[in-house]
Amino acid sequence: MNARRLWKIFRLNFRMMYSRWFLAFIAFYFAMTFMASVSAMRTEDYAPLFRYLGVIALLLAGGGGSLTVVKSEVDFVFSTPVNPLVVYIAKTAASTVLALFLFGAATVYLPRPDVISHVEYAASLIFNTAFFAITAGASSLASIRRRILYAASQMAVAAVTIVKPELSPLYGLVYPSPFYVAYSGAAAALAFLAAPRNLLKELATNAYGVFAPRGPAGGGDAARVVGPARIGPTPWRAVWTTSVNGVWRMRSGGSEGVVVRRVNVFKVYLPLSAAVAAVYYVLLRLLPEVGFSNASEASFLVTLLSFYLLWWVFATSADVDLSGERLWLSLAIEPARYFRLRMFAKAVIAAVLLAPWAAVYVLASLSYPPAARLAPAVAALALTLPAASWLSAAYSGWPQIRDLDLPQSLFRFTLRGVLTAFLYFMFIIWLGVPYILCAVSMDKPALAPQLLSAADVASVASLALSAAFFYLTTYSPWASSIWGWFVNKLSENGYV
Amino acid sequence: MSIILLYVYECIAAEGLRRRFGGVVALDGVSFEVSCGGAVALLGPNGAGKSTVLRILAGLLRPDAGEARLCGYDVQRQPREAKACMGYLPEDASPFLDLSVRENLEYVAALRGLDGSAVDRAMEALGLGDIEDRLASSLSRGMRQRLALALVIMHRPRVLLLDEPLNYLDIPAQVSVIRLLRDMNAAGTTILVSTHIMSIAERLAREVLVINRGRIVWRGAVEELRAAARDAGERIEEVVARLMR
Repeated sequence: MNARRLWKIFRLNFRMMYSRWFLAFIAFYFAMTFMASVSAMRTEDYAPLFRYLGVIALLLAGGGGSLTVVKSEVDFVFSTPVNPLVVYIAKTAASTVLALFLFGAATVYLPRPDVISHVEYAASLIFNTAFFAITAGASSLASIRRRILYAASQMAVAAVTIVKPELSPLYGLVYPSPFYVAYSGAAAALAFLAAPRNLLKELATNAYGVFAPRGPAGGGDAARVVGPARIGPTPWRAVWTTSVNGVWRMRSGGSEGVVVRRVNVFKVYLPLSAAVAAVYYVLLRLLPEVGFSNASEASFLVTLLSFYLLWWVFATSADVDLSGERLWLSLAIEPARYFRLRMFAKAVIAAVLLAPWAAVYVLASLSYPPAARLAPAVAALALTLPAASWLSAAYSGWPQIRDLDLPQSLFRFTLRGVLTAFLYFMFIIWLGVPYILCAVSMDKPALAPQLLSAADVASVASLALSAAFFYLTTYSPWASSIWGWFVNKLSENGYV
Repeated sequence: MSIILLYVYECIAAEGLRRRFGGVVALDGVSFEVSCGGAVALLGPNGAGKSTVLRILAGLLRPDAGEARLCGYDVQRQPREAKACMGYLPEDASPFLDLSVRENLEYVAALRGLDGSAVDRAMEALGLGDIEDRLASSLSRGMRQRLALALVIMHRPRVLLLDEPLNYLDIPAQVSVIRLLRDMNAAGTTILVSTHIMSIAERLAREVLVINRGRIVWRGAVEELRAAARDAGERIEEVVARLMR
């Protein structure tokens, strides 16, 4: 394949992934980060910069879905003579833009003594970006076991960047050297070698076998549903049953074919949530002081990060949840009533799944008192996330998943998406305010009474506003208009 | 390639195709061939195995056993050559929703190594010129189907595999698409069209393959079916329904 064709494939994939306004925002973001970098250059204190790079790495670790294969590719790409690996490389290259800008914006302006260090920086930037783009791309195609491995490798890089930056390949972005060029290059090369080449090869001759092992819709489908099947007879029971029972598709070893098993989310995710909460608690107790000035700072960061990750996982899973909605079925009853029931069910589920975290933060407060301030924030998440995540996903154009269990289009980075993410960040930062105030009060005892009072006020305000939001989106007279807009938006986005 | 094709009489050949999905046998030894320049309809009830046959022929599904050849190339062993000579329209095909009509065509042209004239030709053939800058997501389902057809025929394939090609099209669009496909067939393109609807089969094909429960149960000319219907004083659909039982 010649370079011109490859460039065209790259350009059109790039066009599918990013809107023009999003690219304009990236330029704006670049300029803003320049100012922050200038202040870092003055102080030469790069510790906050490494934390920032670590957080960026964490966010990128959750972005693998952007490379998911879409239905159009099965329809029109894999039936052409092109090697799927070429398309994969073009998509991966297009997806690097985000990581390149995020890492580059924070580090490109840092002072470097000579031309060689500029070259080393450029090489480190490309290799680190490639590492995250390749692992994210590979993750979107891989089996669940491999996906966990890819995510773990990204998380490990993010974690060491925060805790012990000199162990991270991202260190070369701030202190370029041949060693970090080689280190980040090796990480990128390993990620490339671990790409699911066999699966890509398989797509050239067996794409439907990969994505639709159950056979064509309506024919030859061997799937049997195992598990409780009593849906209804009331709308609430139907909504509750379909909210609580997720569907897992599993290949059986024998001649039974694919078994579609209904899985109760409480049986799977509640123990998982409790286990991760327990890990956080143990980590908090055992946390070594490596890389931090004191244990209090380490506890502060780990606790805050655990809360942000909790929010991230719940918010993104709720978005994905929307992709499976079928409006023509769901809206057999009046929309406002349907969404009231659905949001109520989702809020109950979120509350149950988040309960271990509220408990663990209270427990953690015995050794680190500010942690208790996150318990009301967890309650606020349960009240707001179900409706907020669906509304924001509709606004930012989250694609529906239909035939072959594939999205109808790629998730596109748009200005709307940026705005939604910004609002989300503001919200999550606001929820963390009581915790931060309480943590600061430990370092400044003289101001403690005022800071703790402010934390109380912020906690009460968060809970009250979250409860008001829940009321607004479920039982209020305005709920009907909100969900009317939502249905309209989903229809515009191609949902059926 | 032309030397090879010179000696190929059958542009589509399926031999002993078998495919199971778990415990269900979707195809149970399907064998048939379509001569170059032929136009054959694949008829069958829901779940008979029509889409599975087309997917195997298009190199998008591997059979458990058997062999599929297009233009003389084994679809599994020589997928590039086989795919270069064929166009496949799946049922409910979805173009790239975040690209414009022209960009959709440019993308597939780049994948197939075609130049810009192929894009213009395809747009003209399907009447997409007026909407070339519109995003595919903003098109009606019928217009998307026209775009999907344009994506499939733009490289002037020697073999066309079509799964319900007239879905969503209004009557004038159906007429023009049928005319286009007939012209392509007259110019030498081999057509295998899967459909539930007898009238579509009658308009697009000269021969019919009836498939049921994963086996070819009847093969003959459309004219034979018409004659059988005339003799029995029945509609042609009733004759076909009897064959499917």
